[in-house]
Amino acid sequence: MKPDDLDDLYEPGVWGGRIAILVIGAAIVGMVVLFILSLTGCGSTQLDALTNAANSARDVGTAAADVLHDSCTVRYDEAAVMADPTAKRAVVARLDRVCIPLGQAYDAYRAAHAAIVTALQVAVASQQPNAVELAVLGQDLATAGQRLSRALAAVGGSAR
Amino acid sequence: MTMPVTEVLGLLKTLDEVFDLRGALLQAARQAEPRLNLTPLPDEGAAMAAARRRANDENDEG
Repeated sequence: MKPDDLDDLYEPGVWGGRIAILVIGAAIVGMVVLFILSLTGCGSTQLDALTNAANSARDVGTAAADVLHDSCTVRYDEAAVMADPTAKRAVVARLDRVCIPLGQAYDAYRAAHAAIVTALQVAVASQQPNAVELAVLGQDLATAGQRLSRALAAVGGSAR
Repeated sequence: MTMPVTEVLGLLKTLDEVFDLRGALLQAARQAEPRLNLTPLPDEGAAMAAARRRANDENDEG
């Protein structure tokens, strides 16, 4: 990859629509979790709704992992084998600007998803859901979804 | 703040359409006892960090 190719790191035609959809999806997942948690109590209906929300959150997370892989992991590996050290440093620096925040946001989202899945697993098994714990973990997942949404938007922005 | 189940289903329908899941989310939502997907999300953050280290290692050597 030559220095002139820096502007081609992200191709709007490839990434723009896909990332825009993911940005919306991550935000919606956060919103759905918050709405469900706002329902009074934590009965079986709410547990079912939270289970569906957690499954949806996983679908969004999987899609975000694909974006992280294609737009960052693969690009760093391509940079690693570049012959020109100056061009390589420039590419890595540009990738760092969007990939480090995206990686951190994804890790937080992944951890929040794992935490609420564990709590839901216990709640369903015991049939004695801890509403306070689920509310805190749901808030964490919603916050992580919003952060992931912003980080994905930054990746989409770098495509323009 | 409360949200009727119908509106929750409406949001899931939106996600279905956005991700072209052909009604899979909505169908799951209507199940009496949906199954929680326990599979953890891929550790892509670690994979990316490793790739970044490789890129920077090459920089150091160059």
